[in-house]
Amino acid sequence: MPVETEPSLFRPQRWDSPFDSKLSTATIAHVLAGETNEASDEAVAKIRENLTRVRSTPVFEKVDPERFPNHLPLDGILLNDCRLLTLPKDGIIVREGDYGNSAFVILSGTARLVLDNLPKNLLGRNQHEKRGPMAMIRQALHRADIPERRVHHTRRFEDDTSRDVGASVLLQDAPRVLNGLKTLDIQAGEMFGEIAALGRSPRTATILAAEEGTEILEIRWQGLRDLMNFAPDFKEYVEDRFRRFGLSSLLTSLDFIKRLSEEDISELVAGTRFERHGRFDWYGSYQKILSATDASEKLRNEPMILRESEYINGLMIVRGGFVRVSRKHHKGETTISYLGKGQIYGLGELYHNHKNLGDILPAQHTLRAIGYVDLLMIPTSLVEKLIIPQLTPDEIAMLAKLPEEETKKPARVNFLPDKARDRLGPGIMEFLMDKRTINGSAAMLIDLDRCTRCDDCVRACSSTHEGNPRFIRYGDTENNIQVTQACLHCHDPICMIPCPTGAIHREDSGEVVINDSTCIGCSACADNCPYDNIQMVDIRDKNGLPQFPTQTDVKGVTSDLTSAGVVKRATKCDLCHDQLAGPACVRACPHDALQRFDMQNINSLAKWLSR
Amino acid sequence: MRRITNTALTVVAAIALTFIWKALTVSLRPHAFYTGLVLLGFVLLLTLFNARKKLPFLPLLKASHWLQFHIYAGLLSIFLYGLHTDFRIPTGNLEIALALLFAVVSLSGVVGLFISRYLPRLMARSGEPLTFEQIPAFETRLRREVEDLIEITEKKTGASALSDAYINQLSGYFQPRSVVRFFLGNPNRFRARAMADLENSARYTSEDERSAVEELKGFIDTKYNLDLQKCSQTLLRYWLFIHIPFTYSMLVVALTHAWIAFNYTASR
Repeated sequence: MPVETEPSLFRPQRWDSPFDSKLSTATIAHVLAGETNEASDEAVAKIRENLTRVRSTPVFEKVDPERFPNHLPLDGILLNDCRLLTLPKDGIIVREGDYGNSAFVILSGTARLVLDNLPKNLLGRNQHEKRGPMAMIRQALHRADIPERRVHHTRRFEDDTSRDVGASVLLQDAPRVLNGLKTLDIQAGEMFGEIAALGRSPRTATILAAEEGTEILEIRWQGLRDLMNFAPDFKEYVEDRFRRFGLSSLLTSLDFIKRLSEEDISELVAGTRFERHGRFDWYGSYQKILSATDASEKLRNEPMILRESEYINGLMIVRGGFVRVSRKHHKGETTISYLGKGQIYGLGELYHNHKNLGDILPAQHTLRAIGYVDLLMIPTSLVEKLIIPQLTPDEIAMLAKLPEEETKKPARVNFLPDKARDRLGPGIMEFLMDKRTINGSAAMLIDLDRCTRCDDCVRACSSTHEGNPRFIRYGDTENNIQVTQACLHCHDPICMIPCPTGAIHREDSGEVVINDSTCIGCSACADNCPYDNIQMVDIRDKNGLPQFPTQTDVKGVTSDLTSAGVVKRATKCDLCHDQLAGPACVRACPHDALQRFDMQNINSLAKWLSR
Repeated sequence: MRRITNTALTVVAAIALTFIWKALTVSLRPHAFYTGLVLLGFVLLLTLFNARKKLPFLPLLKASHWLQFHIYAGLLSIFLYGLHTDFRIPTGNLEIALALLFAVVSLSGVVGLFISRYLPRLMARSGEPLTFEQIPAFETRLRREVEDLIEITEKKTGASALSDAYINQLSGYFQPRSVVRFFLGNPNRFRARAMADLENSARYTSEDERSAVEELKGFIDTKYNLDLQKCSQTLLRYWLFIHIPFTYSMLVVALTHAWIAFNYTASR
């Protein structure tokens, strides 16, 4: 007589791995289902109590659980995408310069925000652990003959210790170090860190626990994203906080604003307007641009910010994304440069118009959003009242020259030096912008004049990743420059947006990497990568056989469910972040033909091309 | 700048070695023993470059630094070899074998250096870059496209001028070409000849066939690029199959020679 089975399927899921490694999925399931279990009654009760505490904080009290879909309940997000941290006094919560994937809510105690810069050696900043000499010897002796071999997917979390939260790093001798520095206390119930987490940008300040046993709720990026999507009150709260706290530090990153008085800065913050051009998730518009055949059609698909010869009604500061700067050239337009985060446009014109009332100088360039752009606009009246009177003689001398120079050649402050621009040429500039290579913080470029196609770079990559190369030596080409199919480690990594588990994340040092242990192989990152630089691979066991999801019948017998297809993982270039020597591809090229570039530093690219 | 610095350093090293060699000669010391020892050291160091390539993850300087050393130390070794042999042709069987092996390794190295500087530029300026493994598939696809075009044109127009030209003159051009034939046979000449054959045949074509003639001209250019990419990349890959095995053979003979020389000199 056949045995009746009720199979339970194991395929990696979003919430397989709760953010808090001390919580099991089973316990969370009990809490969510409202069930009790004798063995874990106490633990479940404690979790429920914590949930109630979190829901009663000012950040969450207005959030309506009814707005969340059944598959993403509010409590599910709070339990799976959050974790509770208890910190000692002076324990570092976030460090200036780190890339943040989380936001924090203080449940009890106080946190201290250090407004001034702290020396790096005091912050206990430890690099991602690199492979030691023994590991390198093992790597040298190891012959990988099975592609994409992994521990079986049902056991992978057992082997992963990297997710455990270690003891908090303390700021040593804090009273002396903080003496004389500007600090600000953040009280219980307040939130911080969400600006860096949502903007996928580095932390702008260091924050410490100001009291012993400060309790903090850490919310990972995926949870934040879902809260922003389903809780309008939460979204409004976050945006209001940006104006109150994020805007000031962003504005004061500019030298000519930094020296203003606190009152003046407050007036600027109050008067600054936010503008967004294009879509935050710009994958769709990029595909449209790629499919466009002629240059003018490509430009038409980019949202217009400012047209050449229009009146400039404020100082523009790029908060996020990239701006194409172009000007008319015969019947078309030629790209002069691009602006990235923190760069400005319009100060020269505004200064000229302020000094020459009868001679209005309009915009000298057309500005377009490449993908999406978040802009801050400081109105002309505030620029004239607060910024222009504070400009230094050097800045004035530079700005005063601009209108005269504009008539002769398309060069200006913030832009490339003439020599570099000449070497790059309009072709390369347009190409890098059309292909959005400018988004890269480590774009792989190959000089085809030097590349002998020996594939030493690919072999080096393969040897460094257990026989699995993480890029293809192939890609779009302009003149003799090839943008190779390797992860660019984007400044704005939109591949991270849809990842349900946070497996794809930024390391503190800036590399965008995939945590193999928490990747569920959903391919959301690969689908969202505009450059096709993330590959989904079939994973194999130690015998080289494909791994399948498993099912367990009522007798507890586990078997492969082959009909569900092979288990996959996302793979891409990790910039050899765990290798002592750095990216193997660059080091392996005997002809200096391959280099990785931060495209925000276009001068280094121009210099490389001018070798 | 790097080239000037490295060349200057090599010249200085060559002058210094010449002075030492001269001093040893004048003082009636066994200069061949000392120069041989240095030369063997150089060869061993040069051979390590290949080992470095196999261990990309070790922090052992960039491969480009190793290559620079390999080039200039290699050139210096040729000069040192001259000092070692007093610029004479050796006489013993082992020494002749060693000299021949050294010549093959040095010559293949110089040729390798030349082609690795010249061919990438040539390839970069002749159409879309292709990966080596893709090329055979592209060749087959191109041939099929050409044959389809000719077949369709013949069916449409009822004229066979183009198919005759393809069978009698052009089909050979679209076949895979060997590296030796491509470079020794002057690659541009093949293309010019194919174009000329097509132009000649075009005199006998109808108006309807003219557009196919223009398309075929494009295919001839594409085939030229494919040949250039394939033959250049083959050459750039396979010259190492001469350089490296001969290097190891030379190393074995050189060590034997050194062992004999050491024992001979020691016994003196």
